[in-house]
Amino acid sequence: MSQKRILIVDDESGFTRLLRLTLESTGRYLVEEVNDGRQALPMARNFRPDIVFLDVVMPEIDGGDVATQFRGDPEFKTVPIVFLTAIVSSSEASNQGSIGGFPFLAKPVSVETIEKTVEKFCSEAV
Amino acid sequence: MVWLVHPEGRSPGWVEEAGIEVAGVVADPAALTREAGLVLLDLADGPLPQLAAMCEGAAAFVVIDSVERPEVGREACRQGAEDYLVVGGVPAGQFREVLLRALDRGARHREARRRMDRMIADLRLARGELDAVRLQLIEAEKLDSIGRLAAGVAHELKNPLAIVSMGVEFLQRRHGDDGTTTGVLRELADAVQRAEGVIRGLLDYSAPRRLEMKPQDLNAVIRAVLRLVRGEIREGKHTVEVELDELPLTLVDRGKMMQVFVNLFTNALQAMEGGGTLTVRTRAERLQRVEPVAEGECDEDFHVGDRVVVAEISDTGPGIPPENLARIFEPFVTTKPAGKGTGLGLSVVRSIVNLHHGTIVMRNRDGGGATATLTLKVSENT
Repeated sequence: MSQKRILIVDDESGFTRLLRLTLESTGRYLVEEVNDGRQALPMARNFRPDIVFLDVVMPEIDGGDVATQFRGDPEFKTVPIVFLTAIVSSSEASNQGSIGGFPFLAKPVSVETIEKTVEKFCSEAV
Repeated sequence: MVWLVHPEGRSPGWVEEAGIEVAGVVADPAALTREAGLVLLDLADGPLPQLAAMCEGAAAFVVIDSVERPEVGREACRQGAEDYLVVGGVPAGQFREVLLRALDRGARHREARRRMDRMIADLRLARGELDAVRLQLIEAEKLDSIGRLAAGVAHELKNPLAIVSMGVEFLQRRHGDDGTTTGVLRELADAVQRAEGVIRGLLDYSAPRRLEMKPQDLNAVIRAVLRLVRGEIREGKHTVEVELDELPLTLVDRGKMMQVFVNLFTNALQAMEGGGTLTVRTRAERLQRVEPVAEGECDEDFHVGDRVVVAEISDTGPGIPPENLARIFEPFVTTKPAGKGTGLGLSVVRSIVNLHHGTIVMRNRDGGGATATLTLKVSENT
């Protein structure tokens, strides 16, 4: 089974680094991280991710705008995008809802949840 | 009633000539009281300033002089006399009429002044109350600001927590075979989870939104709120006794119900200055009888035989003054000093409970302290 390609976009470099290291340590994923939302699309063109995990609140450009950029690019129109957010209450988190039509995960998030999400959306995309 | 002040303490001839009935004659105005009514101050060459000064405030007074002395007249009026009359200066037969008119005017002035004093006192009282309400509004606004800031604070705290959490997972995967390290990492993971629960609780508590009713375990809501107020419990050297019976799910808005318990718990804790015991009990039951509740509460929603959940929050403080007990859920009713409470907490509790078609009743306990009893109906569909 080929390794899934995961792009993590989050301004918290400590978080992206640890998530990358942990996911890579399973041997099942290839992971790239960017800490500036403006670099997300250029990195995606180069890396060609199977799924993108996207922080909502970032200083230069927020996750919503990054998601719009991806959806406006024919190459990434259908790539699964999952938001990571720290600003949800427990009722919102348990709703399994969406932010702007995109699914989201509430931080802190476990690696197991990330892996399940990757399996879910990447198998759907196939 | 007309009294006469005369330096020699006797009634002079002009009084009788004028046909004035005098209740009494004194030499010293200090002997007069406010009940003396109207006073004729016969100078008879006596020292005006001292006598007039002593009369003022005791009663309205008119100064009578034996000869006309304009400077004395001015001084008399300056001292508060209603009039300055000279015996013989007024045509015979009219003296009594002029005198009584002056005294009547004085009586009206005095009454007006008393009314003004009362109004000033009322105004001062109202101003004091207004200041207290202003302080309460400032407190309420401060709490509202904290609520609005909660999302930002949660974001700033959850991101570092996410890093710690991810780091713990990373190390767990790397050192899963080392028992000691695994134990330490489990402790760290638990601590992160606890901190995350507190932050999520704050978000739940502060999120302004419409009523979102979902089946909830009220005991879980209570436990989450007890975690939120743990700092206050520790700081106040309070102890907590929790007796939570198993409950059926109840249709409530979790965030709003958390607000109810935050307010009830903090209210109980603040009532126990110097420490005390907060007791939280829950039970499920079928209503044997419908207790009468205060006006404004939804007693019509309850019927004998209804399935209900009951939460009782008791403290060991001094209890609620009887005069405040009936009004304790009204806005701005507080037994705390200004700046200590908004006076809004319990009124918010009642509003939320009413939205849930429940009842909330506050009673003083026989052994001291107070108990708030919250009753919610269990929907048969939950």
